[in-house]
Amino acid sequence: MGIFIPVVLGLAFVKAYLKKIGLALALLLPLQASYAGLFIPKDMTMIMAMRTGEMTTTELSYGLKPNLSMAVNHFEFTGHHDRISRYTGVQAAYLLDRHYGSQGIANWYVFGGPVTSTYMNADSKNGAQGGLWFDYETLRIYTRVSAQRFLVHQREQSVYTAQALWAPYAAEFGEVASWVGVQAMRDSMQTGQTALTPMLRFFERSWWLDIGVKANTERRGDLFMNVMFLF
Amino acid sequence: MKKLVIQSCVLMLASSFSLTALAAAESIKMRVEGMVCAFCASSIEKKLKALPATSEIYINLEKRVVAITTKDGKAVSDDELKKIIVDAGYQLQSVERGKFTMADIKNQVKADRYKPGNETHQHDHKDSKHHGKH
Repeated sequence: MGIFIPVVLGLAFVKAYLKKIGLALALLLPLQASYAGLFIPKDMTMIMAMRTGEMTTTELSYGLKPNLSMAVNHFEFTGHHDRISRYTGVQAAYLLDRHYGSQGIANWYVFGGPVTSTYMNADSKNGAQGGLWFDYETLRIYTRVSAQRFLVHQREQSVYTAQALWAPYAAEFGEVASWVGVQAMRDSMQTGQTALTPMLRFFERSWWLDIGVKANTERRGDLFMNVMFLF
Repeated sequence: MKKLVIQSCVLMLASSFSLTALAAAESIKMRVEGMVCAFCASSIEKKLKALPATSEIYINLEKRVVAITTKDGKAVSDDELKKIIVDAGYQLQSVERGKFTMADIKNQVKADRYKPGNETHQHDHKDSKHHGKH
């Protein structure tokens, strides 16, 4: 039952927005990557694509309610000895709490849904993924921590991410906002060490770009890129 | 006959003036709590643009203000505005209606000493109707 409801919601979503999804997937295919932000205003569609060294994700999400968005996504991780795991799924993200402070807002989200997964080219198996996401943002500060776990047929994978960014100026609406910061990511499929990515962030009304260089003690110089479009 | 034509013209002119006065354009300035990100606030702009009444839109993230001017003969209710703000994920704190031009509103907002999170702000309420917390 826990998996059935997201599946039904996901199918309804796919049916209702088939044209938009087709267009979005066509746009995403050449990018082969994405990662989700969870703040999707109601009736808005967001395409995200992210690529970083060992991880590639693509996601298409839609704001169903002010506190609920649905997404279809694909994750691909390359682990130790080039072991590749792929997950494709439907995801619901629910805003648990939004705190309105004097300078900014803090958000707690829970997200998750069913996935189908392949590992090292074996037959695909069904499972689930989910996690928690917290962010706090002002006009000039952005921080985020998130934890995501994949559970597929006795195989587990956990990904922990933290971001901290600062904007040297508060951009007006309509201007390009520029941020500088760092992302830390730990993936249990890797050696267990934390990879650091110094990054720049630029966004305007309908587009968003993160770009950086990822490094851990084994690999350095992997390009990190995250692109989002909102429409 | 000449008198009748003149009377008709005067009557038509008067009625057109009164219609304009009834549905004159207005300015609406809203305080939006939580609006700190242009990427997320763009949904507000998109939905306000889609309203038939909207003429111009102004968004100021620093002062958390969304303002519109309306077209002659068109109106938009507080409920419609509140829905747009709430759907975008924010809270509508206040609505002020007036007869300002967008240039006036921009100047007011820039001169405004309002600090987000501090309710004791000062701004020009002249010729405007202010509605409290929504």
